[in-house]
Amino acid sequence: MLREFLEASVRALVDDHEAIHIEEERNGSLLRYRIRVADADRGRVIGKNGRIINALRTVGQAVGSKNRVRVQILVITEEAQPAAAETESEA
Amino acid sequence: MTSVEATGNTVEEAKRKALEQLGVQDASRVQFEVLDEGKRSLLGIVVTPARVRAVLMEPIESLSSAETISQTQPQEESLPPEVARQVTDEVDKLLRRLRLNVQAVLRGTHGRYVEIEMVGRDVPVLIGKNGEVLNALQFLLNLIVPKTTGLDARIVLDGAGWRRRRTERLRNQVIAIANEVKKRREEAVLPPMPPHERRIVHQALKDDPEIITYSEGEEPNRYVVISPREPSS
Repeated sequence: MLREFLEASVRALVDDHEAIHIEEERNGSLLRYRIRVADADRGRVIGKNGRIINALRTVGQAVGSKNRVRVQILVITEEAQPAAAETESEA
Repeated sequence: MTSVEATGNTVEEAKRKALEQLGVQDASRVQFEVLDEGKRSLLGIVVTPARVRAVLMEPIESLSSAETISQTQPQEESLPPEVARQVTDEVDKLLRRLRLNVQAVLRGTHGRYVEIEMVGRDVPVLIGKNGEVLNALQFLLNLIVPKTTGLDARIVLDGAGWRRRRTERLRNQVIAIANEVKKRREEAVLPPMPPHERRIVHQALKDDPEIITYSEGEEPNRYVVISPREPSS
């Protein structure tokens, strides 16, 4: 649902296009996206004080609510630490 | 500048008629402003026709004299229509990826600002409570579109006139506050606002000789202060 939009957005934001991987995982009414980018690009997806990732979440959740799903968008680095990424997303 | 208004059963038809009236074939010389999308009844019968205004763009040199900001109508040098169109296309392309019934339409340009309006059934989804989705989307588009197009343009995104109405309300409120400031000779501190709304405040009061406005604080809590101008002595 949001994969294409996220892919296009992230592609425009980061330098290392090769390192972009976006996973989509559906779990009941929860739709989870894991965005993986190069370490150096992480800040370009998250933004100062999380402004960029939060804007992506705001738009993603709006589109999700129209389709009656909850949307979660996480940013993970190459050497992902899933535990840390999980908690950060719940905001 | 020559401008005409035309109506039609669809926006496209109205635009075509406007071009005919201007006697212009090259649509890139003309800037369209959609005044009314038009309305259709359930059966597709046209209830209100679509209405557009078309402005024939003069060659660029005639704009240079307008660089000195006139008191009445601030006429900054506008982006070329091709640039505005290219930016709109890019926005439309990105919106399409959301798989909603939403389309991007070019409304006009002001200086570096390209005004784009979303139209379609799902627009409310992309406005959100108090425009929070609209503002998030506008913020993202202003990061993404300059990168994908290489163009230096700022996007003002509207959804079905929501921002236009809000701008109008904000302007009226600000003028009322400014009057109060003059009366009491006391500064007024406005709540934090995103950059485009602060700009509206500054613009609304810039021609008021008794008032100065400035911004303070850090994003996203930056706010405008409306202050009485000290009598110059």
